[in-house]
Amino acid sequence: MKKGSIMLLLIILLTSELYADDLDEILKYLSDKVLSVHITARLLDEDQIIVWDAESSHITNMGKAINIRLVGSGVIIDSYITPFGNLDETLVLVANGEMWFSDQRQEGLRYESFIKSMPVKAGEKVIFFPLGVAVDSQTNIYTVQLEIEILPYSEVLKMVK
Amino acid sequence: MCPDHNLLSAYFDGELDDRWSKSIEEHVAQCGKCGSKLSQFSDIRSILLSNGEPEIEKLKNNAWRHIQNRNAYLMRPHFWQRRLQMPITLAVGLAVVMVILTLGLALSIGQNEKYDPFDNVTQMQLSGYELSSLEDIVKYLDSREIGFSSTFTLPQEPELRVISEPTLIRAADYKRGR
Repeated sequence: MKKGSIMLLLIILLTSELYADDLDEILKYLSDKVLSVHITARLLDEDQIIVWDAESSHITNMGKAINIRLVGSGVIIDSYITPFGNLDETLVLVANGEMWFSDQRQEGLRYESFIKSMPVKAGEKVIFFPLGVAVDSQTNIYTVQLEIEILPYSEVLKMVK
Repeated sequence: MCPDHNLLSAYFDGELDDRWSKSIEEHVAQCGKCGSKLSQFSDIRSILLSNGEPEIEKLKNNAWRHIQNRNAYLMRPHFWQRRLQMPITLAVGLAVVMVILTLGLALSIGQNEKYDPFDNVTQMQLSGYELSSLEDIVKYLDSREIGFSSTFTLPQEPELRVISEPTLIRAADYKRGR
C-alpha cells in the first residue's frame, strides 16, 4: 500500500471518530430538546359524540411550527401549532392560522385569521376549537377540535422501548 | 395783616375790584413777604407762557378718530353677513379646487366602505394564485413550503359553520366544564 493511501485512510478514520462524537452530541441534544407533538382532530355532533377523528404525530423543536390543515365541506382551516419556551419550565403554546369559508347562500369566500396562546406543561393536553365551542347544547351544531399534547421526545422514546 | 394765598392770587390775576385791589397794592408795597409771593406768581406765569399752548387740536383729532374706529367696529356686519370681494378668476379657480377635493374625498370614502375583514377573496391574488374557490386555496396552501404538515379531510356532511371565536382551552378544564 502506498504511503499516500495509508495517510488518507488515517484521515478518514480520524474524522469519522470526530463525526461519531458529534453524532452522540446531536442525539443527546435531540433527546433533551426535541419535542413530540401529538394531534388528534375530532368532529363532534351536537351530543358531543365523536363522529370522526384522525391523529398525527410530529417531531419539532422550540419555535418551530407544525402545520395542521383541516379541509371540510365549505371550510378550510390552516393552523400552525408552535411551542415556545423550555421543557424544564412551562411552555407557551401558540395556535395561529387562517380560515376560509364558502357559504352557498352568498357568493365568494369569507376569510378569518386567528392567534391564540396558552401556557402549558409537557404532557398536558389542550384542545383548540378553531370554529369556536358551543356553550350550550344547540341543535345541529357540530364542533371541530384539535387535541394537542406536547411531550419531550426522550419520553416518547422511552414509551416506544 | 397779610391777605391769604387765594386773595393774593386773585389780585395778581386782576380779578378783584378796585377797592380791594388798591388796598392790597398798598399792603404789598410795604410787605416784603407778600411782595415775594407776587414775585413767585410772576415767575410761574413766565414759565407757563414760555412752554406754549398744548397741542389740543392733535389730541382732539386722535380722540375723534378713536371714537370713529370704535363705532365702526361695533357697527360691523356679522361674519355671515359680510361681503367677500375677489377677482372672478380667483373665485372660479377656488370653486374648481373645491369640486376636485370633494370628488377625491367622496371616492376615498367609497373605497374605505368597501373594506371588510370578512371580505370575499374572489379578487385575492397571492403569489400568482387566483383565489376564487376553496380548491384554489388548497392549491395555494400546498404550494407553500412548510416543514411539518398534516392535512385532514373532514367528512363532507354536515356543512360546518362558525360557532364563536377560536378557543384554546386545557382538556382538563374543558372536560370539567362539561
